[in-house]
Amino acid sequence: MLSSLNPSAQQFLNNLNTVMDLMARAQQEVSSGLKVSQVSDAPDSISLLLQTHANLSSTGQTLANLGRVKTEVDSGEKALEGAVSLLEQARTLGAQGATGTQTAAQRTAIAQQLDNILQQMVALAGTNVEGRYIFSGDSDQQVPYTYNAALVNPVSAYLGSASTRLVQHPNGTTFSVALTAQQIFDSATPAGNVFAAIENLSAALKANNDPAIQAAMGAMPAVDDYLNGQLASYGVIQNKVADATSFGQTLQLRLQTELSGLQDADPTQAILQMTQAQTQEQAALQSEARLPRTTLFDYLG
Amino acid sequence: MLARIQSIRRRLDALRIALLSPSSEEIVNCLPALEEAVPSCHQLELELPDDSDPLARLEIRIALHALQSDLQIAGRLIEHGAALHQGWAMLLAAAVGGYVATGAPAPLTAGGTVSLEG
Amino acid sequence: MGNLFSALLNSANALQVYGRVFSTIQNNVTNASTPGYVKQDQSLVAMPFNPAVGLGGGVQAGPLLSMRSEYLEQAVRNQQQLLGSAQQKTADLAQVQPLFDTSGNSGIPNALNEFFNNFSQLSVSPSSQVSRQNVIDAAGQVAQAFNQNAAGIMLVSANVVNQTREAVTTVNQLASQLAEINQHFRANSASTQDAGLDARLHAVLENLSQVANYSLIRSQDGTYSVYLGGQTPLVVGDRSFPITADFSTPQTIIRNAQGNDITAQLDNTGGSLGALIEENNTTLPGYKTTLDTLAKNFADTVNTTLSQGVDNSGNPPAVNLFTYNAVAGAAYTLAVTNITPNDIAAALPGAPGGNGNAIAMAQLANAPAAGGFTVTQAYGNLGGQVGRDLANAQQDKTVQQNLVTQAQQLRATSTGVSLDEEAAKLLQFQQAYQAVGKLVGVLDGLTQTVINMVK
Repeated sequence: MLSSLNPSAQQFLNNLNTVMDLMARAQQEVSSGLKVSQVSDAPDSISLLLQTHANLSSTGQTLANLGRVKTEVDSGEKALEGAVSLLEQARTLGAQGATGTQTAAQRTAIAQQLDNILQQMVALAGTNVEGRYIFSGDSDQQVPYTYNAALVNPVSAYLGSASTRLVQHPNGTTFSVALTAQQIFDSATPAGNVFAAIENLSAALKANNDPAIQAAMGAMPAVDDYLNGQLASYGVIQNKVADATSFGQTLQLRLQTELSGLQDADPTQAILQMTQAQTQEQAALQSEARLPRTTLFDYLG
Repeated sequence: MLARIQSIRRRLDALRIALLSPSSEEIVNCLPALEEAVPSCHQLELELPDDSDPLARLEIRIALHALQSDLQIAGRLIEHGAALHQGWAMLLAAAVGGYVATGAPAPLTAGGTVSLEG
Repeated sequence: MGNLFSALLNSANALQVYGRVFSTIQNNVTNASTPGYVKQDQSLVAMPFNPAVGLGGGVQAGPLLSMRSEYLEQAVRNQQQLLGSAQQKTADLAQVQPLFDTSGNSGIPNALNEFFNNFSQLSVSPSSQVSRQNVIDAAGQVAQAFNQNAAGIMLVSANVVNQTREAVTTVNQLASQLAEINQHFRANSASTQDAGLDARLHAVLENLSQVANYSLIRSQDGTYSVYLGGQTPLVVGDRSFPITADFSTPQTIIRNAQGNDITAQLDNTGGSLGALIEENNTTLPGYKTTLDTLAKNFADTVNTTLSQGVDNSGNPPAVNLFTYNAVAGAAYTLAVTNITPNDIAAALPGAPGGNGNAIAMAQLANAPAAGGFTVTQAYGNLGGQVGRDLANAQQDKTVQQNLVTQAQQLRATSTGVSLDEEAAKLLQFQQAYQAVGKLVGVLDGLTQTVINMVK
C-alpha cells in the first residue's frame, strides 16, 4: 500500500536498503570466503560449479580406492617375495637330496621338509587382506587352495575364480591389478606350476628314484624364472597404482584451483567492499541528517 | 581494473540520482563525468586479466555484471524521463492549439506578425 | 452613505473570501503527506467595479482549483504496476533459491556425489555386505533429497496461492472503496470538487495499480470505471463486481463476477496479482517439471544399468533400486524399493563376483544424460535458471523503484504541496486580511459618525 513518505524520503530508504544489502553481502563473503554462495550470484556458472564439486568428490573417492588397492597389491607383492624365497629353499633342499651320498632315509627327511615348504606356499596363496583372499580372483571370500597331508595330492584344485575386477583410474579408464593363485602357483603349463614342481621333487625323493629326482630338479630353473616373472608383474602393477595415484593428486589440485576460481572470494576485495559499504551507509545517513528540514513556517511568529 | 569499474559505477550513480529529479540542470552537470567514463570503458577491454588469476576474473566478471545493471537503470531512466516530458509537452501543446485529425497536437501558430521598417 | 455601506459590505465579504483562502492553505498543509492529495488553490475573482453606475467591486471566491494532472497520475500508476509485479516475483523467487545449494555439500548435488562414490567404493569390495548396504542408504539419501526439493517448490506454490487469495481480497476491497466514492460523486456533483475525496480516490487507484493491471475511464458524472486487463468490469459507476480465485485445479484461475475465466487478461500483465498468476501457472510448474524429468531420467538410468548386471547370486536382479509415481511427480515420490544388499547387481553377466557393473554405475556420474548433460550438470542448469529468474526480477525491481521515484518526483514538483509556497501565501493573505480588517474598522467608525450626524 502507498506510504505517506515523499518521493525523496522513499528514494533515500531505497538507497539505504541497497547499501545495507551490499554490506550484508560483503560481510557474508568475508565470513564464508565465498563470492558465489547462492544461485543468483552467478547463474551462468552454477552448472559448472556443481560439476566441478562432483569431479572433485569422485576424484577423492578414486584416490581412496587406490589407497585400498595399494594395500592389497603391496601385500600380494610381499607374498610373492616370500614364495620366491621358499622356492629357493626347495631348490637347495632338492640339490642336497639329489647327491649320490644321501641315503633313502635322509631323502625321506628332505622330502618332509619339502612338504612343509609346499604347505607354506599354499598358505601364501591364501593371503588375506582385510577379510579378502587377494589371490582368489572374483571369489575373494573363498580360500584358493586347501592342504591335506593325508592325500596323495595334498593340494586341492583351485577353489577361487577368474580375476575380472578392474580398478578405476582418475582419468576415467580402468585397469587390472590382481593375478589369481592359479595363474601364479598352479599354471596349466608345467613350467609355471610351482605346486607341481615341489610335489614332484618331494615324491621323487620319497621314492629314492634318482632319474625322477634329476628330472624334478631339471624343471626347477624354469619354474623359478616363471615365479620371478609373476613377482615382476606385481611390481608393474604397483607402479600403475602409484602412477594413477599421482595423476589423481594432480587432478585434485587442478580441480580445487578451478573451484576456487568459480566461487571463492578474494579476501582483500571482500574486506574492501565491506568497508566501502559501511562508509556509504554512514555517509548516506549523515547526508540525510544534514538536509534542511525547516520551512518558512518555522520562521513565522 | 576493479577500481576503474567502481569509478564508472560511481559516475553512473550520480547520473541516476540526477535523473530522478525533473530538473535538467542536474542532468547537464553529470555530462562531463560521463564523458570521462567513456574512455575508461574502452580501457576496460584492453585490461582483461590473464588466466593465471582465477579469483581476479571472478571478481571482475561480477563487477561487470553490476556495471551492466547500472547502465540498464540509467538507460531506462533516460527513456522514461524523455517519454514523460514528451507526453506532457504534447498535452500542453494540445491545450493551447487543440488536436489535428490524426490525434497529434496542432502546430502552434502566431497570433499576428510584426513588421519593422527602418 | 450608500457608498460607505457598500464598502463595508465589500470589506466584510473580502474577509470571508480570505477566510476560505486560509482554509485552503490549512488543508494543503495538513494534507501535505496524505497519499493521493494534490495542492489545491482557492481562485479569486474581482467583482465588477464602476462606482458611476453603482458597481461596488470587491472580491469573490472563484472555483477551488486542483493541481492534479491525470497524465502524471497515469505515469505513476503505470510504473507502480510494473514495480508491484517485480517486487512480488523477487519475494517469491527468493523462497525458491535456498532449495538449490551451490556448495555441493548438501541437497541433491551432495546426495548424487555420495551415491556414485558409494558405487565406486563397492567396486573395490563387491562382496562386502557393508558396502552394499551403504549403496542402498546412499540411494535413500538421493530419493530424500529429490523429495525435499520437490516439497520445497510445492511449499512456495502454496504460499503463492495464499498470497493470490489476499491479492484478490485486496482488489475487491479497493473496488468497493472506489464504488463508494463514485456513489458520493453521483449523489452530489459538487463532491467532485472535494479535495479529500479526490485524494482518497487517487490513493485507491494507485494502490490498485500495485496489485493489478487495469484501464480507467472517467464518465460525465465524474465517476470512475475500472476494467481489469482493459476488459473485465471491476467498478462501473457506484457498483463493484468482485473477482474470485479458483484453485480447484493446480492452475490459478481468476473469475469475474459472472464466473467467467479472466486469467489470461491478468497473467503477467502487471501488478502483484499478475506476477502471482504467472508464478503458479508457469514459473513454478516449469521448475517442478524439470525436476521431475531429472528424477525420472536418473531413476530409469540407474535401474536400467543395474538390470544389465548380476546380483550376488549371479542372477539378473529381480527388483529395481528406485521407484516413483510419474503422475504424482517423480521427484516428490522417488523412493528406494525393498531391495536387499544381495540384490545389488555389482557384477556383469558371465563374471559373477566381479565389479564391472559397480564401475559402470560409478561412471554414470560423468555419463551424458538427456540433453547431453550429466545429471549433476542438468540439476545445475535448473539451479542456474532459478538464479537467472531471481536476478532478473531483482534487477527489474531496482529499475522500477527508480522509475516510480522519477514519475513521483515529477508529479510532486508539479502537483505536490510545497510548505514554503503555502507559508508564503499565508503571509501574503495574512497581510491582506489585516489590511481589510483595519479598513472595516475605519469604515465602521465612519459609518457610526454618519449615523450620529443624522440623529
